[in-house]
Amino acid sequence: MPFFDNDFQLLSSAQQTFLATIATLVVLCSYKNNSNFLSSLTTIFKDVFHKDIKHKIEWFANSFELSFLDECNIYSHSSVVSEEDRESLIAIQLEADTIRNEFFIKASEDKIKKSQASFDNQTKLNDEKQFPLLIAFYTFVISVAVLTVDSLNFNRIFGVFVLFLFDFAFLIMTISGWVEYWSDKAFLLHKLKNVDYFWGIATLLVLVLLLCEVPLLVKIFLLIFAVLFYAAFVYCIILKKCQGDNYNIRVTAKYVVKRIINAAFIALIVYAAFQYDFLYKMAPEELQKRFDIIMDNLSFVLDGLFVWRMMFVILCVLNAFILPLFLKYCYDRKNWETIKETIEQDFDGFHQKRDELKSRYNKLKEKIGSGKVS
Amino acid sequence: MTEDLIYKSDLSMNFKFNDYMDYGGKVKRYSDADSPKLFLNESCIHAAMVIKEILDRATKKSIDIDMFCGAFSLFRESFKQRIDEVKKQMQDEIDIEQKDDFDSFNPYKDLIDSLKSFFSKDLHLNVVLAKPLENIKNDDNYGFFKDKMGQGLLSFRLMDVDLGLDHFIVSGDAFRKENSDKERTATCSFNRPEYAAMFRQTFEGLKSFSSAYSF
Repeated sequence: MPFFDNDFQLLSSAQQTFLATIATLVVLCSYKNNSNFLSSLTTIFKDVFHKDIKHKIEWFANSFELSFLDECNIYSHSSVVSEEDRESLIAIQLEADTIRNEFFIKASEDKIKKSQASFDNQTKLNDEKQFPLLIAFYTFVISVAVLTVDSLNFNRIFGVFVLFLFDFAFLIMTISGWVEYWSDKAFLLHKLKNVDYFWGIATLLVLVLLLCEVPLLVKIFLLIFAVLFYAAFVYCIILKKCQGDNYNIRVTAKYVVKRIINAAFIALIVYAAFQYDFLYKMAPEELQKRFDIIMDNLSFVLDGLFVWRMMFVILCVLNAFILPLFLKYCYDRKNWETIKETIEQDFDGFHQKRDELKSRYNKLKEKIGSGKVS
Repeated sequence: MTEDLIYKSDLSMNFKFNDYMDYGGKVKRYSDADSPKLFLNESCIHAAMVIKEILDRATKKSIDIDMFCGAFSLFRESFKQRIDEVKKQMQDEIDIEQKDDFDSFNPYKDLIDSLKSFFSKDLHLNVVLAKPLENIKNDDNYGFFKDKMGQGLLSFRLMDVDLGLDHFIVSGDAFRKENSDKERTATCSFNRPEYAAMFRQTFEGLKSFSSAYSF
């Protein structure tokens, strides 16, 4: 191998231990029964969000300025006011209540409740630990792959290639997750296209099993993970079926065919990676030299693999626990501005009715105040 | 003139035992006559009297009650203490011929008795709370409330956020709506379907801003 010598070491023992510890912690934190870490984080963000909702509702309530009612109430209890005027004062209060409650409930249900419901759904998903568990699982798989590649010294090029694939899958998943938050759609796990990851990675692991000469322990590991990923895939399909989300046999069949093509494509890439030596030797000498130069120049990338690994571990932790809520929060803030504008338009009708009542009240007050008490 | 009116407002007045007896009689008359008259509530004893009447009417007509309140305080130990305090203040002004009536005057007990009769007909009291029920376990009626919750007759929901709406109780065409927490004033009527319907609709809306609550 022209660009890897036998002393190439991806990670030191200390780095491996650190990475494994992080990965294990992430996995453990994803299980409700094993740690309260995630629920604490969820609670913190829920509180922040609820404070935000509260702030919105306060703004909303303040917009229904009916301060004249306090004075109206005091007048209505006055023994100086005639029964006729008292009834008029009470009627004004009740009418004001009617319009306030009507507007409040209508606008609240339509607008504010919607944003709260979307948060509740998100919290529910987090509570179910599906999304963080998935990410933590990926982290764990990557960590195991890193450790396996380094500690068992099997085909390093292939190992590096597999890790890059993982990184790539991670990156795509992270980006697509963010895009979905911004477009206010369902979580990754609930989107059919994201089930691809389960299928793709499970297939990749099976291919490694089939194509790679690896020790028994690694085979067992790979097999367990492959089964778990396939199980996750089946679970998601069933989940979608249970949700009745466009599930029918034709769509499923089409989907499975797509997955077979996908698997074949992955197999081709993996096969090409295995045949690197062969392809390399088959290439003209000039091309080999040029390729050697390119790989030498890229060696800093390979040396920086540990940084890559760590970066992705951190990214996945952020992605699993903090970014989804943060991005959702940002999205909601942005969304709120639009909602606010709509509510303010709705207020026009309310303000008109309120001003009519206020005018009635002022006339009555004037009548009472001027001594024309009946 | 405004200041004069506020000064002369009945809100600043200390009610006497006779005033409460008159008020109780008036409430009963309005209820018996199904009167659409809008009348006012100006003290905790007034509140107990009107809500007792709403409970009795609901029991008689076999209809459920919806209530949006602070912390269910009307049926709690603290409310009993407040009534006892008011009663104590009135004690010195009682004539000898009123003594028996005064001794048997117990609006809180009457209210709880009416609540028990209401539940005995398997009717439902649906409550949306603005605040959680603190120290409810210390209440004398804790076991009773718990029992009715277990039977599904008494249900609580707790507001997720404070909407700033006035508290109310509604049953059929009768309602009592608080105008001011500070002044303890309320507007009531036993036969105003238009307002009762509005409060019932509001209650339904409040449900979506609250979560099931238990103790």
